[in-house]
Amino acid sequence: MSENQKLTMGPVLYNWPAEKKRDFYFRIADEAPVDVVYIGEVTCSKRTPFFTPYIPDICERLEASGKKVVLSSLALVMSGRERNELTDLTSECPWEIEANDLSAISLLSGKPHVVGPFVNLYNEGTLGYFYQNGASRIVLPCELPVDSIAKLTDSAKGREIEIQAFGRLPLALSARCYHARSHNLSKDGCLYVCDKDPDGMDVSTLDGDPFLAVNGTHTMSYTVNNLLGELKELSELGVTHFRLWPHDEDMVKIAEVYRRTLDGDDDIEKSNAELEELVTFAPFSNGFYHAVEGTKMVE
Amino acid sequence: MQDKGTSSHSPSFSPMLFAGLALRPLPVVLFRPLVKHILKRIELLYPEVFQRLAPLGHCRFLIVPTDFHCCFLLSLDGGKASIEVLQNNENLPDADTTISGGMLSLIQLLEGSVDGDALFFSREINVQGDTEAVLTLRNAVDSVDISFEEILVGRLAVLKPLLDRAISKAAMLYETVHKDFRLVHKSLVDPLTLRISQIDDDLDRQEDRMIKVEKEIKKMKTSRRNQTNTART
Amino acid sequence: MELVCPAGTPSALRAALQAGADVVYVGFRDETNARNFPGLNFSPEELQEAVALAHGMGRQVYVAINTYPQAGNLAPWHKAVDTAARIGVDAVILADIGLLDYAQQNHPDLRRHLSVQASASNPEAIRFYKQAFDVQRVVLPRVLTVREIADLIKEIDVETEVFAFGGMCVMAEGRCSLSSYATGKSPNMNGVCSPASHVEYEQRRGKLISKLGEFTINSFPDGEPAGYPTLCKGRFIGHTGDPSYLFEEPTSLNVMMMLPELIQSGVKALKIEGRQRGKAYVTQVVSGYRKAIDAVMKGETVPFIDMANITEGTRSTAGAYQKNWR
Repeated sequence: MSENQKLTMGPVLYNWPAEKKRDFYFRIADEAPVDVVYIGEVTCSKRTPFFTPYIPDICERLEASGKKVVLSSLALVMSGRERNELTDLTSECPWEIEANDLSAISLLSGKPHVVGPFVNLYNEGTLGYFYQNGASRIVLPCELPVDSIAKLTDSAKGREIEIQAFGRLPLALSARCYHARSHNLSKDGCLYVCDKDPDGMDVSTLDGDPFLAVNGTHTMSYTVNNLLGELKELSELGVTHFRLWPHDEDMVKIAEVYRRTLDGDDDIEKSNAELEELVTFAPFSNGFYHAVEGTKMVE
Repeated sequence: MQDKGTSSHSPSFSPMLFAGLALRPLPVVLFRPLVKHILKRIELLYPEVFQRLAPLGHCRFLIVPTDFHCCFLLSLDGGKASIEVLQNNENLPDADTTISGGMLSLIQLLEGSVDGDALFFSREINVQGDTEAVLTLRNAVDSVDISFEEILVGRLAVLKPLLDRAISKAAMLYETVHKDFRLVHKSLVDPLTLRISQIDDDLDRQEDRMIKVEKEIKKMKTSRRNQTNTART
Repeated sequence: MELVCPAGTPSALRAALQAGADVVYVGFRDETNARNFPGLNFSPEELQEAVALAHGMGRQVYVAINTYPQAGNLAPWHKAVDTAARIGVDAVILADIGLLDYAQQNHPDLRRHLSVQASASNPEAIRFYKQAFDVQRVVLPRVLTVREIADLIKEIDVETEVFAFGGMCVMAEGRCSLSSYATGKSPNMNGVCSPASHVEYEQRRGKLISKLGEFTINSFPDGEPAGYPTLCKGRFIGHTGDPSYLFEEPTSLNVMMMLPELIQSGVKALKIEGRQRGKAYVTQVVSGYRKAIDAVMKGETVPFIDMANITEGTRSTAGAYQKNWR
C-alpha cells in the first residue's frame, strides 16, 4: 500500500447543531489526515438552512489545509423546493458535487462529478455508463460484496473508486421521518427531534437485541462498519478512496488509525483494539464485504 | 370454520372435529389407499406442480388438520412425492415443516380457492419450521388449477352425479352442525379460555416488568457512558 | 386507465385475465426479477403460452426484469431481455441503467418501462431515463402524494404507472439494504426482501413469534391478525423503551377511494402488487378494481368493495399518497 490510497471524510449524516458541525469540520481541516472532505445535507432538506451559511468558511479552511472539498447532494429529492435547491447547487457550485440521486446525475451530465453511495450501482454496465456521463469518482453502495467490488475495480481500469470503510451504514431512505414518528410528531411539525441522537437513535428488537439506528428519514445499521482488516485487499483490488462516515467520536484519531494502516502498518489487531477504545456506542461489522449478513463481523 | 383465538396445539373446534370424532373408530389403514390414490392422481393430472417442487430436493412436510384424527407426512425427493397417513396420537415423525389448520382450510388451499397468505394473516393456518419450503409448496400447488373433484372422480362422468349428491348431503349436514357447534363452543371453551388468558396476563405483566428493568439498566449505561465521555473531554 | 395486474404462475395469469386485467406482468423463474421466490414465476415456454393467451384476448403482458445484474455476471439478465423480446412481450420493466442501455442497444423496438425499483421520484430523474434510454413509462415510487404526482405528470412527457393495491414498501423502493443487513439477501441483488429462507415462526406462550435471521420481528397475541416478518413492518423498541411499529404497521396499500383523484391526475396505469400471492388474491383484487375503475370512468362514485380479508394485518392504508403518512 502507498500514499496513492486516499482517505475521505463523508458528509455528516446526523442532525448536529450547526456550530458543532462547523467546529467538527474546522478540526478535521486542521488535524485529520484525510485527503477529501464531503460536506452538505444529505438526509433531510429541512435541516439545510441552519448550516448553509457556514459552508463557505469551512470550505476555505479545508482547502487552505490542502484538502479537496466535495459538496454532497440530498439523497431523496421530491419537493419543488428540494428540486430548486438542487438545480442551484448543480449550476452554480464552485466545488465538485457528489450526486446522491439520479436527478443530480441528470443535471451534472457531461460535467465532472462524484457518484455518491446512495445511487444504485451494482455492475460494470452501469459503472461504464456513469464514467462516460462525466463521473470522476464513484462511491459504491454499502451492500456490495468483495467479488462485485473486484469486478468493478477491474472494469474501472484505474479510474477512481471509493468504498465506505468506517461508520454506521445508511441502509434505507424514506419519505417518512421515523424520528418524528417515534416521538408521535408529523414530519412537517417534527421539532427537529433528530438532534437528540448525534449517532442515530438505537432501535432494538422485542427481545432487546440492538438491530438498527434511525436518523430522521434514513435507517442506519446499528453496527459500525469497519473495514480496517480489509484495507490491504481493497487497495490491491484497485480501490482508490476510503470513506469514513463522521460520528460523534474522535474522528481525527479514527482517521489516524486508518491512515496508518493504509500507509502499511499491518498490526491490524492493535489498530482494531485502538478503534474499539475510540468507538463506544456499538460493535463493529464487516458482513456485507464478506457476502454474509451486513450485521456480522467476520474475523 | 376454525375459530380465531384457539391455540394451534389443540384441535380447532370445528364441525370437522365432530366428523373426525365420528370417523375416529376407523383405523388409519383405511385412509391410506385413498390418500395415496389422491397423490397419484395429482401427479398424473398436474405434473407441472412437481417440476416447481424439484428445487426443494429432499423435504418432509407434516400436514396436520387440527380437527381430524389423522395427519399426513408428505415427503419430496427431487420432485418425486410420497405420502404417509399417521394417527394424531402416534409419535409424530420429525419433519422440515409443519402446516396445521382446519381440514377445510387445507383443502381450499390445495384448490387455490382461498389465498394462503390471507389464511395465515387471519391465523387460520399455522406454519412452523422451514418457511421457504411451505412457500414453495404453496406456489407450486397454486400454479395450476387443481380441482378436488377432478382428482377424486377424474373424467368418469358416470360417477359425477353420485359425487355431487354426496357433496350436497355433506354440505347440508355441515350447515346444521355448524349452527349447533357455535353454542356448544361457547359453553365449553369460553371458561377455559378465560382461565388461560388470566395466566397469560400474569406472564405478560412479568415480561413488562423485565422490560422496565432493562430500560433502567440501559439508562444507567448511557449515563455512565456520558460520564466517561465528559471525563475524556 | 389501464389496470396492470400481477401473476406469479400461469394459473394466476389466467385468473387475472378472467377478472378483467388489461395487462398482466410476470417474471422469469430466476434472480432477474424482484419476486424471486421459490416455486414462483414463469419459464420461457410458460411465458410464450401466456403471451399467446393474452394477445388472443386483446390484452398485454409485461415482463419485470427489475433486479440489478450482478457484477461480472450480466448474462442471465441479458438473456432475460433477449427472451422477452423474442417471445414478443408488450414491454419489459427494468431498473438497472446498464441493463436499460443493453435493451436499447439490442432491442430498440422493445418497449421499456422504468421499474419502481429505480425509484425515480422527480422530473429530473425521469427525464434522465427518458433522454438516455427512451423509456416510455415510469412506475412511480411510493413516496409521492397524489398532488405531487399530478404536478410531476405536468412536467414530464413519459407515461406514469402507480401502485394502487398490495404490499407496500415503507422505504424508497430499490434504495433499501435492510434485508441484506439482516439476512445477506437483498431485493436489488437477489430479488427478495425478508426472504422465506430466513423466516421462522415460533409459537411461544399463546403468541406467534416471527423471526428473520437472528432478529425477532414481531409477536402476535392469539386472535390478532398476523403479518409477514418484513422487517420494516415489525415491532421494535426505540427511544421510549416501549415496543411499537416504528416504521410501519403490517398493512396493505389500497387507494380505491382515491381513484377519481388519481384518474384526474393524468396517471396512465394502475398497478396491483402481489406476484407472490395466490390466484384467489388475484381474482379478488383484480375484479374489485375492474369494477371500481369502470364505475369511476362512467362518472359514478367509487363502490365500496371489501378487501380486508386479503390485506396484511387485515388493514389498509392510502400510504404516501396522503401527506400525513410522512
